[in-house]
Amino acid sequence: MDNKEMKAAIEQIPVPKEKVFEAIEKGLTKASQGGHSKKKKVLAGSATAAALLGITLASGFINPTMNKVLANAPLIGALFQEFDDSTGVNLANQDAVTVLNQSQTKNGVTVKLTSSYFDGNIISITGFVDEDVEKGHNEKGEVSFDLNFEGNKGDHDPWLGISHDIRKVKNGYNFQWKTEYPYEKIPDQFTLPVTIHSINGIKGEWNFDIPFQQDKNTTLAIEQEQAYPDDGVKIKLEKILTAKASSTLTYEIVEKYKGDDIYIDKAVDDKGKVYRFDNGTDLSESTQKDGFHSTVRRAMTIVDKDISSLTFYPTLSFADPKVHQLLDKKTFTLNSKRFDLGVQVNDVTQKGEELVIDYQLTGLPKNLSQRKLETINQNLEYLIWLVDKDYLAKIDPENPWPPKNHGVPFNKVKLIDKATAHFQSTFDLNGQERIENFKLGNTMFLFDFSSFVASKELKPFTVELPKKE
Amino acid sequence: METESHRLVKKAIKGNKGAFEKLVQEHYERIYRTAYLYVHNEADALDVVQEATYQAFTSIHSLKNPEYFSTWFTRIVIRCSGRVLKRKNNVVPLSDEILSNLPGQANVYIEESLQLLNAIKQLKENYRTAIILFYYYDYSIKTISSVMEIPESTVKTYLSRGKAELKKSYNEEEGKCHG
Repeated sequence: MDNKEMKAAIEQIPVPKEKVFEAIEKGLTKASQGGHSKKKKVLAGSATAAALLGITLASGFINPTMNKVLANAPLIGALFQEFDDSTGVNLANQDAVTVLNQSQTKNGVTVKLTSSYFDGNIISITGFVDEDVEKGHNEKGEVSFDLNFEGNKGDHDPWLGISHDIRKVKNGYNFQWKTEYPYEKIPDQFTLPVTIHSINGIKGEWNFDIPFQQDKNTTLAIEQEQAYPDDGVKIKLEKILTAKASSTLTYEIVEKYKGDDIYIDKAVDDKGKVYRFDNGTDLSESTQKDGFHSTVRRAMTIVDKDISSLTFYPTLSFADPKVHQLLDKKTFTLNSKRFDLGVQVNDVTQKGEELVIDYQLTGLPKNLSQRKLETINQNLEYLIWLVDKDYLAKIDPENPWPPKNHGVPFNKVKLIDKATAHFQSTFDLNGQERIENFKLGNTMFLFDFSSFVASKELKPFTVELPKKE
Repeated sequence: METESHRLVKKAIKGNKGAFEKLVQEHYERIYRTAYLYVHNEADALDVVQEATYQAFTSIHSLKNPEYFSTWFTRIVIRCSGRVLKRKNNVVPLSDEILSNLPGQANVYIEESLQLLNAIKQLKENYRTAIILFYYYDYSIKTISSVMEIPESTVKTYLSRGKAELKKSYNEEEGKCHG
């Protein structure tokens, strides 16, 4: 046995690429919902005046069913296949893609737009940028656009929920931008002005007016409400719009606790076909007597015409506002506002540039598994914050992170005793994230219980679909 | 290439999700196969990939030296695999799933490979980690010692004992086949 043999053997293990990429994606999504990445959002927001779209070249994988579809697709379909965009391929087959031929050259860089489509709430733009972008400050194989739509400035642009992809081609790069139509009423056609401020740091500007059009969607009004009184949430399905290659579900969520997150994972029809959902657009939000209302519109797999019912599978992840206590005492107890959970602080000691807090968690299930305990241990590293008391009100609720130089959002955790859920957290007072002029008596201890409560799969519910004429 | 991936790591440390994703995707096969060598089924291996991605992205800010990204990430994958193993404590036959997932064409080496993979599976976790890092990752003894957080002499011991055990169970398997 040598290492060649060993490697050859290991390489026999088949790798399901799409599933692995999906797992990576899920891990990242989970991270975005946790504490750390929120900081990154803040950094990104303050560091870049305008939204920078970092686009990275990745090799695309081709879905076999799409190859079949493509056999009949016109040339433009090949472009969508490159981007693994089945909606695009489907539309190309139906001759529902607008072919564009607009090009502009600024500072030696030519940008050419090649197509646009509009299907339900999905918008796509494809184009080409020549290899002179490589003279910009990005690495080879990377293209990043700084752009805005409709004359908007910076991040305040409803169109910027964009996803983007590029493919290296001869003499340059093909790119695709996809986003959701951001406004409530979906028109049949409109023109979208786009301004590319810079590409890889090379200044433009490149300006285009992009036409979009689609045939009238068919609308299926549902108007059905599903309430989960024990969990304090309601889902009201409003309608399903069906376009040529996708459908769009609009629904309202009513939550007793603002910040709860209801997510419809999938829907299954009466024939067993599974429907998946894309990201959504928040159409409206309001606080009313019965709770916090929000209306969401999400693209989904195109709904078959001849089905009679759809069953929806929602998941609820719970919000629980952070609780806090001024560190002017060494022992205190804090309890969750919503769940039967608490933290009992036994001691607070400052040792030079470190602050050590000794505490026990209460209300956790007995006999926690080792794995669960390790997760808790890991989570505790960012569930406790120290924040300068004068800056507590300055934490942005939309993007919660301690104000720079006025908070410590991480700590090192040590398990003291498993049976009594006894831990010790050590905060580095002189780290990258710190509190200027740290004084124990001016420091607020914040604790977040929400991650101790697992998200819950709500009971699936079925809607009968009205018969279409 | 080296500098490009360094730049990506630096971006990832600053919180650039796209850069991080690209880094992980670059090594997706190795990551998945490493996980598989511990957990022996697709579902758990995918779980490990997901969990390791999550843990790595939420802690990458603490990575001081970009050049250690790869070993640092490997350590997370191994740790996550170990956790899944501990949680499951049950043994899933390795060969069935691999056989059912193999592409159609005949491959004369498959049987031998399976024997070897099965032999790796029999190894104690520490030996297995040392063997995987040495033979599959081509890591030096020094690097393995930093990934496993054990002295170099211990790595050497694990490697030689691991190899001896592999040989033993590999030969036994072979003996069984021919006998």
